[in-house]
Amino acid sequence: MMKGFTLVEMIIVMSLTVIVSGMLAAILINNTELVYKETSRVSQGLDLNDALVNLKSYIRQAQIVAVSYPEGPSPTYTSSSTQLVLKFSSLDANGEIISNAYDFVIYIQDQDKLRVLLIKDAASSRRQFNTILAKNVDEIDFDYLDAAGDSTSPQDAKKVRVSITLKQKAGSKYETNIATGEANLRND
Amino acid sequence: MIKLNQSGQILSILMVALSIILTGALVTVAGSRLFYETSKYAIFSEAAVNLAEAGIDKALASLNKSGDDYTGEEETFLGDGSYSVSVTAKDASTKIITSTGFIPNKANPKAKRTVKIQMSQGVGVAFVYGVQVGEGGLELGNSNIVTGSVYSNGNIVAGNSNIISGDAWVAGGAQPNPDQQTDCVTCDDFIFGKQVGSDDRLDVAQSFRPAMTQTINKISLKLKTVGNPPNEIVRILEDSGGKPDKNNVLTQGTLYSTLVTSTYGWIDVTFDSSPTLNADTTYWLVIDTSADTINYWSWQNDLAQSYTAGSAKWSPKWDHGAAVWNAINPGDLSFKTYMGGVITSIRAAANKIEIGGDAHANTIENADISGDAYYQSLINSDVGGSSHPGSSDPTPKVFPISQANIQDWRDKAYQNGGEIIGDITSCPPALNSQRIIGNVNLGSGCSVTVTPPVHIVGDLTMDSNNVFRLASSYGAASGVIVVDGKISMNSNNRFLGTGVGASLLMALSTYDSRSDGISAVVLNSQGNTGVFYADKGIIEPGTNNQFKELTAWGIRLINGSTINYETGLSSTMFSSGPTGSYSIVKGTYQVD
Repeated sequence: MMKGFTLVEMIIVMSLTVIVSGMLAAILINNTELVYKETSRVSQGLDLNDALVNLKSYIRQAQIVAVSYPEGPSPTYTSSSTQLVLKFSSLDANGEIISNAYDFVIYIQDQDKLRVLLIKDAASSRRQFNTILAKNVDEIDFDYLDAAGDSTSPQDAKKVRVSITLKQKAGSKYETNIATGEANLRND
Repeated sequence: MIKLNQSGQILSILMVALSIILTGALVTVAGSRLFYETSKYAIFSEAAVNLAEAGIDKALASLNKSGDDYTGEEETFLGDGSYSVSVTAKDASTKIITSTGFIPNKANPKAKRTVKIQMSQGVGVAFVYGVQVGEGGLELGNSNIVTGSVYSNGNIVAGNSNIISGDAWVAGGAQPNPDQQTDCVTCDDFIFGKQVGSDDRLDVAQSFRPAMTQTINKISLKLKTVGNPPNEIVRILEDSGGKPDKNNVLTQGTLYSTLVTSTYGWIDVTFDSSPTLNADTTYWLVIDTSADTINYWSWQNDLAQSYTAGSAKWSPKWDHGAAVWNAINPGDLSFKTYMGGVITSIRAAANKIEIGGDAHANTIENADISGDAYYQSLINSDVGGSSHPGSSDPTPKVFPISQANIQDWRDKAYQNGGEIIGDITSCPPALNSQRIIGNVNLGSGCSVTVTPPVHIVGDLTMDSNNVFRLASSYGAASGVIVVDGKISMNSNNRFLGTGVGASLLMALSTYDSRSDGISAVVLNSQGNTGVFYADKGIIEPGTNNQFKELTAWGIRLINGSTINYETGLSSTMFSSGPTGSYSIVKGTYQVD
């Protein structure tokens, strides 16, 4: 004779199934959240690293922090806490300095991206570029410092401190990362 | 009926779930690992740059110690890594230094960065203005054209129908004689900018009491350097209980280290603003440096303490919360203060002077200004832009070359090639780095190769069509001919650099026109080119000549002349020949 499951057995099995699948779902969701969070933290970290390496390298090699680009009235870019305009002597094909010719490297926050542009003099051998350095930028802050480390105006700066805040939705929460770097203008 | 072989569904579901979790974990771990590695590399490469820069510092010190014998080093360990340096000659006076930093070593580097820089035997000079005029001012006759901007520490006086196409600046005037001064009776060095014994002598101060209530115009300090210290900030502070008062800084200015040499000279410092100082009140001149054991300063000290209206002190940090000031006893540090208050002006005759850019002067009369005007009084003038009455006078600017720089070139010329006695009257194929005790008097059509620095104790005179060219081995470096007497020439004489980069050949006269009014440099009309410099003299630039730069105590244009120049020779390296010490050429720092 075929014997069916009793109601009690059914209830036990069903509730066990609910508990186990609930735990499993929780583990899976938590795990996915963790993966999202860690992946975005890693990608933000990598972006921040690249951005700071790039910024520090150009700040080191800059002649001065320019007040603006183009220099003179009605500039497109102006050195401030959110924009940085660096001025370089132009180089000819042999890497020699061309007198009275200058190239500019400009960092700007373009909506949620950190963008870097190189605008060169016609005679310069440097290559022009306009690329995105970091995404998900929430805030960028340039501080202009004198040799003693006190705040000063951009054109008097001997060093520049930069701090970048990245913010990105990772799973259900926002992931925020801040990085700060500082470099001296070696060619000043 | 339940089939037994249906069992194991749970297991497969668990396996799937587990593999999702595992994949996630692996992705996270791999990402973290990548992040860790890149971060580690970023730190290593930062350290490698610092090591490479240490190599550059070592190279500079070694070149100055052992001259051309230093050719670099294979691998030197320092801290967590090592650096290697190679030195290649770019031209007769310039070396290219390539320094690579390695973490942890050269054989198996985890990170390496290379810094490249040029070092030259000579002094870097920044000509910021096309025409820079001292207290002698700029005199224009009628119908002259100056293409570009002018900075003058003295008046601009113009006849009729003159044009300055750029900005015109006239600084507030200085009293002719120092208000306060002291030089040494019993002379000694006061070393600072480093630790001396257990003393952190970083900030040094000398107090003074002005004899009159007036604005301060400029100061002079008797200084020398050891190595190549950077520019320093000089401040004027009020006094508080016999010490500089860090809460009352009246103004500050830059002490340009390139103006200072290894022997004492009076170095001018001008300020960002001109505060009024009160008579019989104590103020302090404070030089603010940072510690450097190789590159530091010395201020001439008077052990006899002959200055009675002030004293000297030093401090580890002038702006520290409770700054400690120690007396320099006995001592008075040699200085001069010049007060301002002399009214200066841009003044033209009835047919107005046209100023293409902005005009800055205490008094502006008969000017037609296209840009903005900054002044105290404006008389019979038109302003195209905005007017700024009540503007304080512009502060004077120091010249880009000091007496000490010039004396250094004279000394180097003698060290390089000794001296010859007697006049040179026929075309020499070359002027070598040496002292010429006599006049150089050339006719026409000479072609002369110049190996700088050349020192002519007499006059440099020439007729027409002579060419002076800097020896090609100097590459992008520049050279100078120092003439103690006067320079005069007829037409079509050319002073040329090597043609590489910003190279130029400068003719410099130290003739003093201030008492007799006789010009130091006189150029006739037509086709003369070059860079001319007369810090105590008057230059008459003639007509239809082409200049890269003119700097003089005073400039006189008679009638119908044109000055054209190239602005902003911002980094010119003047070679001091094979005996000179090396310094870093500005603007050549590169990091790969």
